[in-house]
Amino acid sequence: MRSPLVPVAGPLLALAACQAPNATGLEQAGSTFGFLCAKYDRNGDGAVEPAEYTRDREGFARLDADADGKLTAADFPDERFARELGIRDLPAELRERLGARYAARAVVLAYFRPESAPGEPVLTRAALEQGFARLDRDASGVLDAAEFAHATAALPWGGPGQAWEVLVAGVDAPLPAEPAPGEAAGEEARPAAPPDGLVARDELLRYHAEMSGPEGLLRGPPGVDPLAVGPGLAGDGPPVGTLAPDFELAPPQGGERTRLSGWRGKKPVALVFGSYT
Amino acid sequence: MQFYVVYIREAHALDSRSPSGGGSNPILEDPRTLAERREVAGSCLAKLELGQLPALVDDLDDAVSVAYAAWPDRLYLVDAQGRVAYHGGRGPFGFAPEELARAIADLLGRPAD
Repeated sequence: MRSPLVPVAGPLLALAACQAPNATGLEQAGSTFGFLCAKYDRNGDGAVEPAEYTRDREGFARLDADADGKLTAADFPDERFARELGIRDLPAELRERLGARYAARAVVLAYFRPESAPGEPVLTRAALEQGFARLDRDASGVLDAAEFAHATAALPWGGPGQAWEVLVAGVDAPLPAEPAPGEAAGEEARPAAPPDGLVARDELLRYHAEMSGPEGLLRGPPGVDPLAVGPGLAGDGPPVGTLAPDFELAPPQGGERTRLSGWRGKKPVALVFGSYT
Repeated sequence: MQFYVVYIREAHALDSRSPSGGGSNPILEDPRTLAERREVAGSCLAKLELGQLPALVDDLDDAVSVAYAAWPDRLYLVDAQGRVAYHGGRGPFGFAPEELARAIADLLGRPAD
């Protein structure tokens, strides 16, 4: 029952520190690659080959971001980035802000991409500038919530209102600036500009530059589709006043199945739908 | 008043199209059998300390999740006549337990605590 906006930003565990996942494959901490190598890297060479991966080919291909035919740390650049940045040692507040910057990527990719390429999950600087100009209705160079509310894109987890919150949290809260070259070592880092709840064109372009690879393209995490939908995402479910769809399901431990309609005429029922992630 | 946690398909399994995990976040693969799904559901409830609530596990066809447009998370209240009395928004942003609490209080004719 976690937010789907939690980004991949965990530290990469050293292979030696990998702990074997339990039978369900459930692991509370660590990294995706650490998890995979602990579970599948039988020959211990630090990579997962297709012969070692016992799940479906489609999933393997999705994880193999660089398509070199094996799963290695290079397929998980966010985790490598986090490790190189020493994210494990960062103060909690800074970790959260870094996470917010990753989460904003899905919003930027969905809302600022060219209308002619609605499904393209990469964004050039020029396309971002065009997307910004499209949304900046008063051409002030600054986007506010009212302007963003006119956007027509929608992510699976919410509309422009929710997306705006994620965008502001990730773009309008820059990390402290790196010391400029020649700046005295040990000098206190220059404070970042305080967030103002708006998204300026310059802030967005700086975000693009910082979050893009060397080729100048902003991409989502490998294998991630920001517009991915899951089962149960179509429609809005049964409205108030209608008969609740009946079902019969078993508890986690198995055994007797419960039928919702079995409570009819007896008690009201509260249903809490969710999962672990 | 009867409560059920209905465990549905994971939102961010590592081999899904929208993976997430790492650090202090759970990492898990999408359960492929009902037995796996039940096992993960049991672990999830234990780790989230929801073990005191009765739980049900959606079948692998996700039929209940689809019928209720429940993914990735959502709240409902069904009255004693079997009709929807509260229809929560889609999670995470529409997931509002305080709204459910008010709806329960209204239904039972008691003030919400």
